[in-house]
Amino acid sequence: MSVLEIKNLWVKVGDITILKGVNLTVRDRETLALLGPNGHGKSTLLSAIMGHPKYEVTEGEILLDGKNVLEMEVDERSKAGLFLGMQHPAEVPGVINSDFLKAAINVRREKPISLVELYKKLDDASKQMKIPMELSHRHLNEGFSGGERKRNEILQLLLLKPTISMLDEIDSGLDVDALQMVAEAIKKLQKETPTSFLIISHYARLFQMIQPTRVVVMINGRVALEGGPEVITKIDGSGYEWLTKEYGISIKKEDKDAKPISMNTISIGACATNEVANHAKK
Amino acid sequence: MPRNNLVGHQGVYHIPASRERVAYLLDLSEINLPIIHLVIAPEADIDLLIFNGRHDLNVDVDIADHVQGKIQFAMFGINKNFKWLANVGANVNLEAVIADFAEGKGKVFVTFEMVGRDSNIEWRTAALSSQTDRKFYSINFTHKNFNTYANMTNYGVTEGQSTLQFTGTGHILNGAKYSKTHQSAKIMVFDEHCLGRADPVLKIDENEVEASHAATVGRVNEEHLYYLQSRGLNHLEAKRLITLGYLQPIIGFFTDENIQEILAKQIQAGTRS
Repeated sequence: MSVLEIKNLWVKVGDITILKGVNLTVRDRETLALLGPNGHGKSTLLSAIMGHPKYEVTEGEILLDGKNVLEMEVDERSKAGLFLGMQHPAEVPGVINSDFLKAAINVRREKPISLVELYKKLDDASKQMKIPMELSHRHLNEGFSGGERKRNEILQLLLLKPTISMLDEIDSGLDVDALQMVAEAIKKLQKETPTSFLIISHYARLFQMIQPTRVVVMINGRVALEGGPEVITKIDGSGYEWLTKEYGISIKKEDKDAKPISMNTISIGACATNEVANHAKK
Repeated sequence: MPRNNLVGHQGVYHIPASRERVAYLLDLSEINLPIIHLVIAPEADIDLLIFNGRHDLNVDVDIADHVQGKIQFAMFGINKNFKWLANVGANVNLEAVIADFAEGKGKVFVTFEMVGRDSNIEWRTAALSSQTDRKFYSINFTHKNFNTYANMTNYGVTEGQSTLQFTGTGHILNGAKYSKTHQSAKIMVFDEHCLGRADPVLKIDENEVEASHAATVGRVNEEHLYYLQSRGLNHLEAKRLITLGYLQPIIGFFTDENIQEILAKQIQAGTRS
């Protein structure tokens, strides 16, 4: 049984407070849809749960089966059962995808996985996600299309079998077939494993396929509304304005100038030379 | 391909001409002289593996016309100075690599004087400087004749309290028309107290040539570490995987499987801080 409890969570990035007292519980084996306008804290919540160093928790608690998640390192959170399928998975040049997957599997085992077993697991998961096996021999996410990256995130989910799976806009950039594949993979895990899901999406299509048990809407850095799947239908038809009309919730406009959160300004990576050159121009 | 042990006489080592590629091993650890001379005969086709795990040594090299093949340096702990000075003849085609993942505090000077025309050399360095290592690499190409080509790529990782420096010089002399000299260096700095430095130098005394350089010294991308850690790898395991990915490609340029294994283990063992 796995329960994730978030109690009065306040999170800031730099000087900006983004989450302002989030209270939320992800119950055992439930699929929770997390909705809300852009820039209102959904991705921040997931990143803070996973432990992204840029997100500073200033108040509140995150408990996984009663254990204090905030005291855990990022890798410990992963090994405790948390998984974040990222909106923009990092490209890691030089690191071979299969080496990375093997390492991620091995940290969860006492004895290292044999090559035969690894190959079988990879082959099964790759077939399910229709990812060519050759992708596992390429550098992690480097040169992958948007759809391939998202499918690679789900492939990791299938291999690592976490107890709490958080998916951040996993359906963005996917064509209809790929969306179907992702939905099938989630349904398989819903059926066959004791996994709970916390899923962010802007599209009703994915939710129609995976049938969330509950819906939470985040506005202005707080949970503004909880309800059943009918909330998705309502938002899909009328947007978020009806929340103002029906509940009197005022919705702050998204800061369009806000930059994506990144830890490095200059680093060796895929485009280090370009980054240095761009930095020099400033 | 069986590898022939090079045996010298009074500090002079000869590699004869050959119609097919011949593999040689030159183990510098076994040599107790301050200077040796390596002579590679015209039209030799070589796969030369050089072990180096000793202190001060100068190697003077004559590479005659039409020599081709590979030179692979496996450095097993340099603690003082190692100097390699090669005179390169005409129509030489060589790929040369140096891998240094062992503990060490030393300086490596490599110079190719491209005396003959129409010669090509591709050079690659991969070095790991760990804990309290101090490693200094100076790689130099001097273009003295028409249409000579040199391209060097130097990759390094520094961590702990170590130092790693690459100095690369491409010098095209007056008269070496149509020559091309290129170099790039990248050093990944893992920790706060280590030092990485890359100094590319180009000296151009001739027109109608091509020259370029690029150098980057930067910290490891924290987003990469976070991504790997979010899948359960701890900081050290994530760092090790990134380092391996960064340095491992050089291993593919070594033709000896045993050496490939040793180098892979050295990278693993080296990432220990």
